[in-house]
Amino acid sequence: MIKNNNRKIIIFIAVIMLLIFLHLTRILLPVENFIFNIFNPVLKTFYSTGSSFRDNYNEKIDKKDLLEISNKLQEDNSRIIAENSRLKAIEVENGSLRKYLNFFEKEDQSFILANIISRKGLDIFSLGESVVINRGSLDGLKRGLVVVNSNGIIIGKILSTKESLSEICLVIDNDCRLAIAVQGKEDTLGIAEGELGLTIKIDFIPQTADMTEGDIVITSGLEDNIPRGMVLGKVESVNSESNKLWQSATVDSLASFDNLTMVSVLLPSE
Amino acid sequence: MYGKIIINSLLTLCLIIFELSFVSALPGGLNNISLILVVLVFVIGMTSLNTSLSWAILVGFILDIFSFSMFGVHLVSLFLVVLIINLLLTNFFTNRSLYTFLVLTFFATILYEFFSNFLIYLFSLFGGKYLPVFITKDFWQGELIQLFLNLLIVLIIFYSLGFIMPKLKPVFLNKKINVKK
Repeated sequence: MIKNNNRKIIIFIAVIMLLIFLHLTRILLPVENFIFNIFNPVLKTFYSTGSSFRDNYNEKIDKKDLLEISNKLQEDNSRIIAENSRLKAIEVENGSLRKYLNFFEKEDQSFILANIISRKGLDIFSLGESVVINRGSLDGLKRGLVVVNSNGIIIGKILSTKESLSEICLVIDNDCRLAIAVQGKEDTLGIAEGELGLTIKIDFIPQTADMTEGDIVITSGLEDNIPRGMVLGKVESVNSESNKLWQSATVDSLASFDNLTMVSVLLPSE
Repeated sequence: MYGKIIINSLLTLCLIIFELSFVSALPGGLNNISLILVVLVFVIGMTSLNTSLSWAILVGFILDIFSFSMFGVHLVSLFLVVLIINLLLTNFFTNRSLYTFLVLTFFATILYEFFSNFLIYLFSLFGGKYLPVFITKDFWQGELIQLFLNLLIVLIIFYSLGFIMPKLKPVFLNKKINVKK
């Protein structure tokens, strides 16, 4: 009986090695793609269901803070309306100036929609916050592309891609780093990095840079394939000590990560 | 025979879908549950070695397809875990009590993490990606939560199944003292 068992184990080992070999030689690729296509709609549905549980749970936890947040949002809304009308005037002026100087119109950024099918990823090292989407290299995605939510707020970057899947690190993840600037203060630059899966920290801000609470943090455009001006979040606090070379700040993301089920990946402009 | 294969395959696929998408989206630390390991322990305890290894290979293969780590990590890790757990079950824990399943789940969780991290480390020696996760507090915290939740799930499943299957009557381990005359 032991001999029989040993023989079975050897057969299973052979099967495993064959599967690995077939994967490495890409012979199994059609089968893998078939499995992706079959699983994707089901994974999407189950993830949405799990996500709604997450939503309800967080809603109960946050209920006591909702009134305070609501009041603050009303204040912000009024301020944004005022700022918006000022920006609209600038936009009209900008349009006329471009016409006069014969500038080409900037093309709209192309993007691709994707569904989230799993959270935390399947990478053994998925300690932090990451999600898996149902688009991959076949759809033109590659490492480093930025991902936004329905409001155009950055939620993360692509870490790695397969043919039909991509792993995204959320901006609150330690692995996610973005070159940022402060809106309206063109000289203020730094590197934003996720912290503890909860918030975003900006380091390497020069001491001479001007940064205050409430400032909007945007992408600086210094990275490949990440356009300038994508909103990341709002400065929550600034840590500046005169005896240090750099100052740092904590940023509150303007995106909600708990009820994310669909995202857009910004494709590189050709 | 074909019916059995189809049923087992469908159950395996349901388990994978549930773990990959639903469990991963759960809040409050519940996304640390490793339902795959818990179910595999029960499969080892209730069926043959053949069936358990088939489950391990199918689950491992599909997890590897969806994983961004080196292909084969989940496949090999689950295979080794099943072999060792089966060895423990047949040689040390010969009854199918609650304690047996709890201890086997404990070992399965630890062994799976060990094997998967070790394989990734081996791969890194040939140029693959490796992060020394063992030095981070998050890793150990996650592991403890996973262990606790897995054992809790075993408890729930064991007593639920106990009502349905006589094989899993909740008995305690008895120590028989043989007195030589």
